[in-house]
Amino acid sequence: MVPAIRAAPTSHPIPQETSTSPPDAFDGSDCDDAHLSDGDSMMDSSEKEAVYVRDGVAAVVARKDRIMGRLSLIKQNHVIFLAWLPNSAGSMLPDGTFHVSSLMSQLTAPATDRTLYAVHPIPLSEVKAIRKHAPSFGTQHVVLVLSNGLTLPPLYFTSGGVKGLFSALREHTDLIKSAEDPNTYLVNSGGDPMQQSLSGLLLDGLPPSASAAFLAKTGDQDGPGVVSQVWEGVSRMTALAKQAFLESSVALGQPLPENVASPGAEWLSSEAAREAAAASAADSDRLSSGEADTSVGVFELLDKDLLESATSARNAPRPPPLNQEEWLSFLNTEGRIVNEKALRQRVFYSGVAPDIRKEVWKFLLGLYPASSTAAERAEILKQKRLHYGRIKAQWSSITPEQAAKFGKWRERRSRVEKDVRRTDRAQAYYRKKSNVRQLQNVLLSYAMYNFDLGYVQGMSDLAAPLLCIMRDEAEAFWCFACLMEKLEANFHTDCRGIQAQLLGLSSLMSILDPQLTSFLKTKEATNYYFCYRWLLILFKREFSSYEEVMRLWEALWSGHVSPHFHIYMCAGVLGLHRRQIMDDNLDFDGILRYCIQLSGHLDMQQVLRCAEKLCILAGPAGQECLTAAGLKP
Amino acid sequence: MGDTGPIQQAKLVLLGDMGAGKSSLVLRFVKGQFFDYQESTIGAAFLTKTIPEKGVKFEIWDTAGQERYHSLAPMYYRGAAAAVVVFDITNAESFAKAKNWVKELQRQGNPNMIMALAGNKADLAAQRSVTADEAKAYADENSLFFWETSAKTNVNVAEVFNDIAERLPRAAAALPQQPTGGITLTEPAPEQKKKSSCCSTA
Ligand SMILES: Nc1nc2c(ncn2[C@@H]2O[C@H](COP(=O)(O)OP(=O)(O)OP(=O)(O)O)[C@@H](O)[C@H]2O)c(=O)[nH]1
Ligand SMILES: [Mg+2]
Repeated sequence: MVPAIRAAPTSHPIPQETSTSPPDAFDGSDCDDAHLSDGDSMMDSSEKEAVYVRDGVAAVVARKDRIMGRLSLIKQNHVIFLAWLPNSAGSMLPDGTFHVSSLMSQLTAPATDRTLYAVHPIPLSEVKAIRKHAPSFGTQHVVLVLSNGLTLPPLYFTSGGVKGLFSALREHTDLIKSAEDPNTYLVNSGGDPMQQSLSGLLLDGLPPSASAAFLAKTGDQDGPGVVSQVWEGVSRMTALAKQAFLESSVALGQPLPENVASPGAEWLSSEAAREAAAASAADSDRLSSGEADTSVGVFELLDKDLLESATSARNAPRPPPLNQEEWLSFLNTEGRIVNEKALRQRVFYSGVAPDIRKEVWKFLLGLYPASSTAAERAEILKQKRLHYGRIKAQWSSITPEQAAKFGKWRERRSRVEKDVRRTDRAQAYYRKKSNVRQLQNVLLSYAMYNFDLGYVQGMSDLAAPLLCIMRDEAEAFWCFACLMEKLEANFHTDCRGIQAQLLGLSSLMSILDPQLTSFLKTKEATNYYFCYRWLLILFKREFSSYEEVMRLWEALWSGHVSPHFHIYMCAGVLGLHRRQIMDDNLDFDGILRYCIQLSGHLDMQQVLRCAEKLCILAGPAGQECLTAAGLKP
Repeated sequence: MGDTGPIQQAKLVLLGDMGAGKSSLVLRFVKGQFFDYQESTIGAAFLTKTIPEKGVKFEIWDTAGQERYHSLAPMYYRGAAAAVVVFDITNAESFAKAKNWVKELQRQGNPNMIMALAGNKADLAAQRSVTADEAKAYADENSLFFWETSAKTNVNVAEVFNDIAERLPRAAAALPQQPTGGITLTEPAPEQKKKSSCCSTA
């Protein structure tokens, strides 16, 4: 159950980001289009407040190791997060004096361990239960159990504050005393948000199995399964992300440079950070080592990183696309590809020059095996041409009398005809009627070749650029057939292909961006249907120029980084617009609308770079999310 | 009446067979444009249009027509105040599909939804395969507005939307449809129960 949020009577507003910090890549503020940027108002409207802060809360990670830190509840964009972040060497008192508690003297955990045990802000909706221990002598402590079954290390309140925690919790969520144990309180037991969204219309049209899978995998359910796998992923992830972040910007123990305050310290303005740094050395120590820990999710950590890559994508000279000469250098004397991996990598990063696309795409799509010699390819092509001729003959020999008795075919044909005449007609290539005719032939042939699937809207979008490159019906047909091998499930009536990808995206987002995930939960929007079109036709409609679409598809087909790179692209686009989505407090319809309107306003290079970063960061944990959703590694 | 009143937002959805002309009708209404090569809709398109005289701002969801994407439709029509079901008068199959949409909306849509039926491509009357009488009779049976429209020649397009705008419940009536903020007033239910039980025993 999503916490019912009421205004907190005792809240401490947290200073906002000031203009001294670099613009946030994820704000989309560097987006060219005015209706999307609107950067300033977005930042101002971001609501963040601490509803509970307690220093002197020690995590006991082994029998003797205690790490002092700060427990806080932060309200951001209508979602309450709980965080426990370690101090580097002690804790601050509210009056700003530095305090080393008696427990602190026992502090033995090495610095790396300290950050390891940090509880990065987790949405309160992920907390299942809290257990209070109030021994008659000794320190009060609490144990948190998460909805995935994970138990966090006990937190000892060395200077009190348990009562305060409970009253703050009560204010922002439903606490119910457990029937079995009076010291255990169930958090958010009021209902399952997934159940609620399932009861909505959205998943009703799906087969029961798909809905059940969706529920089991994304719902707040106990026990092992995807959720806990994902959580294991999170711990690995955050460590990784942290490392990446620390390497790239803040060296431990260094005073905080002005311009790096933003990524980690979302809720700690750079202004405030500098003031605090000036105030005391200990303080600055706390800030710098705690920097990475104060962030909410990887996106926050990466803000700066992504900003940099986005900027460099625009400014840095990029290697030119793979050209004829270089392409030939990848082939040995027989014409076999000698270093396929390097080739794929090259294609991923720079694309293919238009004049050799016709050849290279046939490899990328799998029409030609990489190991094939030039002679073998010539033979393959010859056979494929003959085969295409036979398929085409099957339908082109249907006489009007036969068609009159062949309703299924008539219906199929009329759908293809309706769509080809309005597919990419703005492209120079399709201004010519004969080319439109060829596209129609390719699609009718496919509708005959794969009669079980037939023609589904969206296919013409995929086939049109292929024909435009191949300029040959038979080759375009086989390239399309190869592409459909990968995408066929997208077009099935039961939506299973899209469903699996949406599910994969959903768990991927839960490890990459827990904050946005919980926001989406409150909007019952974790079905990610707003990414539907992106997945269905590989972002074809999101970019208006053929060149961009082709460049993007080459990157996808290269298979470098991930075979499911387009899913990371969805995550990337959402990441680039997360601020706007949350700051505007968009509901499901609003997000859907927002995503529809992104069409034509995305920066292809920026999205590619961002997706690549996310893919690397998510690492095996990311792939696990996708595998668990039924997507082959 | 109340021309200067506040602008009321109304969610409107277009449903109907692929190629019937949903996107073309919306484009004609919102931007006054028409394209022979209007591309197919994948997922949905979203546009808005305010009719100041009627005090209405339409938030228009234009959906994809192919049957295969039918399961997505509820996402777009849920909570809609109005629907325009479109068919192509030159295509009998599209009329059959329109009837299915009407049925589905009657079954699953917002019960107060205002529905219009648009027989589009009226400019192609020579190739007509659905008569105006047939469509009108069906519309009357199901209390739908009916217009024969042409997005191409701009016939009756604004009329469809104006008709809907006029029938929209005014602000007060529309209030219960607004998303509630999670606060529901507690009704004096127990007392009423007592009363009614009194009556029944009497
Ligand atoms: N003659 C004529 N053609 C029209 C009219 N309205 C639409 N068309 C044409 O019919 C074709 C399909 O129109 P769309 O508006 O794309 O149809 P749609 O219902 O949105 O189709 P989907 O998006 O595939 O569901 C286009 O080629 C339009 O130019 C009309 O009133 N008269
Ligand atoms: Mg359309």
